[in-house]
Amino acid sequence: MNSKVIIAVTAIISLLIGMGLGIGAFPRIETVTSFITKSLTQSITLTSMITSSVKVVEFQRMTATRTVTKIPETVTITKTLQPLTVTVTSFVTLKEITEIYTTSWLTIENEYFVVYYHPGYEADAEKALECAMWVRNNTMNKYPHTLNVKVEIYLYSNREEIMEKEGCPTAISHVGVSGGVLTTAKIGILRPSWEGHWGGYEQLDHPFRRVLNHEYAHIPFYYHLYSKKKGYTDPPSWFSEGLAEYISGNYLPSYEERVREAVLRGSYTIDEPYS
Amino acid sequence: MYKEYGKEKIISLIKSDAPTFLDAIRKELGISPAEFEQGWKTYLANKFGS
Repeated sequence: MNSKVIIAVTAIISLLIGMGLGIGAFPRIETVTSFITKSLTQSITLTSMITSSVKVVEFQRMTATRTVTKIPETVTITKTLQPLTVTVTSFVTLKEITEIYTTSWLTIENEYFVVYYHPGYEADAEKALECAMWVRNNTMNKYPHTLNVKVEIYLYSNREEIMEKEGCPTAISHVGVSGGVLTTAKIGILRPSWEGHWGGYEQLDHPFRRVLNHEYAHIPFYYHLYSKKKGYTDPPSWFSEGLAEYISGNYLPSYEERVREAVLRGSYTIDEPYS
Repeated sequence: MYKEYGKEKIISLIKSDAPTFLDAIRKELGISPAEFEQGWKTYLANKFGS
């Protein structure tokens, strides 16, 4: 798309917004995702919610510098986007543009982890990366291991989102092994600043780190379990979950009470004492 | 369990090529599942005084 067309589109969008037309008044083109990723030079101002400015820095590549304002946080995000050959035939809606900024993932990473987070949660992402390194070192002391992939950590903004995407209320880990090789190591978890319940760990200090450590501990465990050429792959849950809890140092008062009750009832077995 | 057998034994239990978890206890820890369970019950009895 040439710059004149882009400028014209931008001007029309700005004009429509400026005229105060409702969301439904914007004709639809493509999804916002394709619009944002394909059309490169644009300047969109959406009332006070989002200010986005983009410029082409080299042929078929661009650097987009966005300033996203979400009261009370202000963050600046720099991303590199891919080429820009697209014909815009109509306009995205205000709602769609808003959604791309609230549902897309940004990342920060280091040698061992990639943290995925939503715009506006940069502080959570940095906290998560810091905690992840603590978790790795803590796990390494009790369970030495080597992972040949970076562990991906997805930070969900709220309970509804993690329930929708992962089907669990707090955190979950995913391990993919193919041909004896670890191909996927992923953790989905609520953001560190989440102030709701953490499955009971909110009673203790550092609930995010505790839950992250529990999920992280599952990764080398299931990697070693599933990469075996032969042998059992269905350990009892007391072993897999108990080891994760031991490694992460998580001892809730309710645990002892449950075990005490099981002991008094004699209702535990070596196969599944927690069942 | 971890303190009793140490991390090397625990990791070998995970990586064991024994066909079942109970077989892995026999092979990697060198005790029968019954002995393992009795040790666990003794630990719990001492801890909870039952």
